[in-house]
This record gives sequence, C-alpha cells and structure tokens, in this order.
Amino acid sequence: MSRSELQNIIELCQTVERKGLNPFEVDVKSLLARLRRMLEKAKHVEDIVMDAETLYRIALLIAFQGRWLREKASSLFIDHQLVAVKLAVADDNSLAQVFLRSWRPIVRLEQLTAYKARLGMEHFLNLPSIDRKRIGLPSPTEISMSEIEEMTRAGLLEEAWFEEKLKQVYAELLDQVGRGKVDYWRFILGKDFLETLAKAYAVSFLVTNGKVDLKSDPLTDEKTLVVLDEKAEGEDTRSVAVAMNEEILREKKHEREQGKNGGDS
Amino acid sequence: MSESKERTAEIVRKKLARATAMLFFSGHRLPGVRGWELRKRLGRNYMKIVEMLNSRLQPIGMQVKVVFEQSPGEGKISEEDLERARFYITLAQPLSFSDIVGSGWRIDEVAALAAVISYVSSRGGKAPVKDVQDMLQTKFPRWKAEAAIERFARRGYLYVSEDAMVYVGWRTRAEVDQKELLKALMEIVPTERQESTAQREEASREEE
Repeated sequence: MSRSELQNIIELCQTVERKGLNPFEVDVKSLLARLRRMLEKAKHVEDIVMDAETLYRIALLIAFQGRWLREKASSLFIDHQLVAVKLAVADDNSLAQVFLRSWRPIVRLEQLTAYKARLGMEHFLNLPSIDRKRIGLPSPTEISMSEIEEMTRAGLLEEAWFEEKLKQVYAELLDQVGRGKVDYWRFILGKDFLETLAKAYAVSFLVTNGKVDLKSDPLTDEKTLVVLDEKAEGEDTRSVAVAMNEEILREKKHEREQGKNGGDS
Repeated sequence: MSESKERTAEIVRKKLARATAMLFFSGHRLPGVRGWELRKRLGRNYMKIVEMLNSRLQPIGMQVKVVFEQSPGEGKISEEDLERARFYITLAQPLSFSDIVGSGWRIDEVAALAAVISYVSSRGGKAPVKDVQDMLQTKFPRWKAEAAIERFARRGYLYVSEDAMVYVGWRTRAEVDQKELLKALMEIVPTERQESTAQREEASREEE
C-alpha cells in the first residue's frame, strides 16, 4: 500500500465525519487489515508515522459511528431519505401545521423594564461627578426646549405635569393682570434661566391655545401679553419668534430692575 | 408573619424581579442568559428562583426553557451542565395558524423552515448546503430556496459554516422540539392521497 493510498483513507474518514454521511458505509474491518499488512512491511519511520495517523483517523470514524447510532436511536430511527420523501409530497399548509406543533418561540423584550430603568438610574446617581466646565460640557440645567419636547414625546416627561404647569402659569397671569395686559418679559422672568424658559414655553402654549394673545410692537420691540375673554379661533394667526438666551435674560432683568420696562401698560 | 419571614419574602420577590428582567430583557444580540450568569446574580439557589418564575409564567402561557450545550443523560443533570446551559423564556403552548399569520410569518416561509429543520435534524444535525438547497428546490424556486437558507441562518435557526455545511442553529435548539417535529412529519398524509380520498368520496356521492 502506497502512502497516497493511506492519504486517501485519511481523507475518506475526514469527509464522512465532516459531511455527516453514514459512517457504516465505510468497511472499517478491511481497512484495518490493510493497515496491519502495511505496518508489517514498513521499513521507514515516515511510513509508520503515516500508518499511525491513518489508524487514528479510523478510530475517530469508529467513535463517529457510535455517535451516529446514538443520534439515530434518539431521533426515532427516521432516515433522512424518508424525511426528504415526506417533505416532497407534503403541501405548505401541512408542513406549517407540523411545525407549529413543535415550535415554542422565544419571548423577549426589546425595551427596558421599569426594574432595569431603576437600576440604570441608581447607577447614574452613583457615578462620581465630573468637572463639567473644565471639559467644556454644558451645565446640567441647560436643557433645550427641543429636548423637553423630545422627552415628552418619548414619554419620559409626564404630559400631566405639563398640563398642571400650563394651568399654574395661566392662573398666575390672571392673578397679575386680570383681564388687562402685562409686559411679556416682566411676566416670564423667573428666579433662574430654567424657570424663565419653562414659563416662556408654557406661555407659548397658552398663546397657541388662544387663551392669551401676544402683541408685538415692531417699532419699540415691546411685547405684551393680553388675557382674552374668549378663546380666539384661528383668525389672523401668525407666528412670533422670541429669541432667548442667558445674555438676553440678564439684560431684561437689568432693565426691569432699573424700572425702564416695568409696570402694567 | 414574623419580621424575618417578611424579609425573606422580600428578598425572594427581588430575586424573582431580577430573574424576570434578566431572562426577558437582553442587551446582547442573543436572547437568554447562561446558568452561571443567573447564579452570579441570584445566588447559589438560583434554580429555585427559576422554578418559582416558571410556575408563575405557566398560567400565562410561558415557560423557562433550559437548553443544554450537550444533552445530559436521563436524571444526570449536573451543576456544571446547568451553569453552561442557556436559559430562555418561550411560549408554553403551540401557536395557532392565525397567530403566526398575524405575527408576520408567511405560511410558505414556515413550511420552508419546517422542511429545512426536519431534514437537517434527520441527518444528525448537519447537512451539506447543496443537499438542503436541492431538497428545498423540490418545493420552491432556486432563488427562494437560497434566500430562505440565508434568512433562517440570520435569525439563528441555522448555522452555515465556511465549508458549506448547514447545522441546526441556537434558536432551533431553544424553540423547536426536533423529535416532535420529525414525529409529526411522519404522520403527514400526502396531499395527493387526501385529494384522492376526497375525490373517491365525491364519486361515491355522485353514484348514490
């Protein structure tokens, strides 16, 4: 037996195992007999090494035979050719019905549970604070309006909270001016930037709802809020953009303190 | 109830909540958790918590499914087997036809999945891609057969190796009772026979 023949045996054993073919189709007994004859005649060490390698591969094939038998026994001895025939003659509905009998899909969540969200919050609160100014991050209170809208849309902020805030601002406005009018900046200026923003945001909703009117004088750039007796119904509607940042608010606060812009008009 | 009992009940409640969150929600690509992960988070007696969770899930049609890396022998499940096993939550009852249609699966897609899994299972859990394609092509056009194998591999039902072999995937091991599938497949009465029976019945009615 030449070395190439031994190589063929090795490849045969490997292919049978890799492709999951029936390992009993290989005649192991005759292969072993041929190997024995080869070993008796072998003169070179390389031949003996090759012979040992082939013997090892045959041993693995025998182990595969054992596994194959176990698998066949556990799968009720159903031959794959019989399965292929059954599959060929069955219609889609029957196959789907058969599958449903044995299928129990995994159930999983693709979003956070309240428990996980709480864990995340606890983790966040336990994180050491960083020097935000040093690394150029904005202050945590500088939340933009779009972020608030985004959070409300995402359900992170309660709409009920916002409704409550609107009522509160409307009541404050009524309290301050009755059915008259008040300077816009005077009304919205709060203790800090965040409070001012929140109030301005609420006022913008009251204006949009038609409960309050925002009058703007293009010459003096004065803006006044007027509480309306009846809810305005979409006549002569237009948008008014009010720029707002910390600098503008500081300026308006300063003006108010100096009494330049104060008092109900 | 004494204070210590209340405390124990509270601990168990917390562990149940933790186990539920771990099993239902997964930040990884693959759902489910390993036994050792559960042991680490729930403690040494994690299997008791899992059993408790299972008994609470059963009435609402779900169950905790344990998938072992290598199937242990009858009554020989060791600690090590459990720690290496993967735990999932699956439905406990079979779905109905309308359920799967409603969930976005097409009947021919489910049929193709049934065919591929039963074929690969009957060949000991692996088969050459070409053989699987040939088998599917007895029912579907070639492009559909190829697309189906690729899609099932992407969803985890199959694993296609670099040497062009198809293996049963992790999702099949978790979701499909392969023995039950093969058994049910063997019980299928071929359509032709059903038709011929129907035809025979119709013919006999006509004769009457």
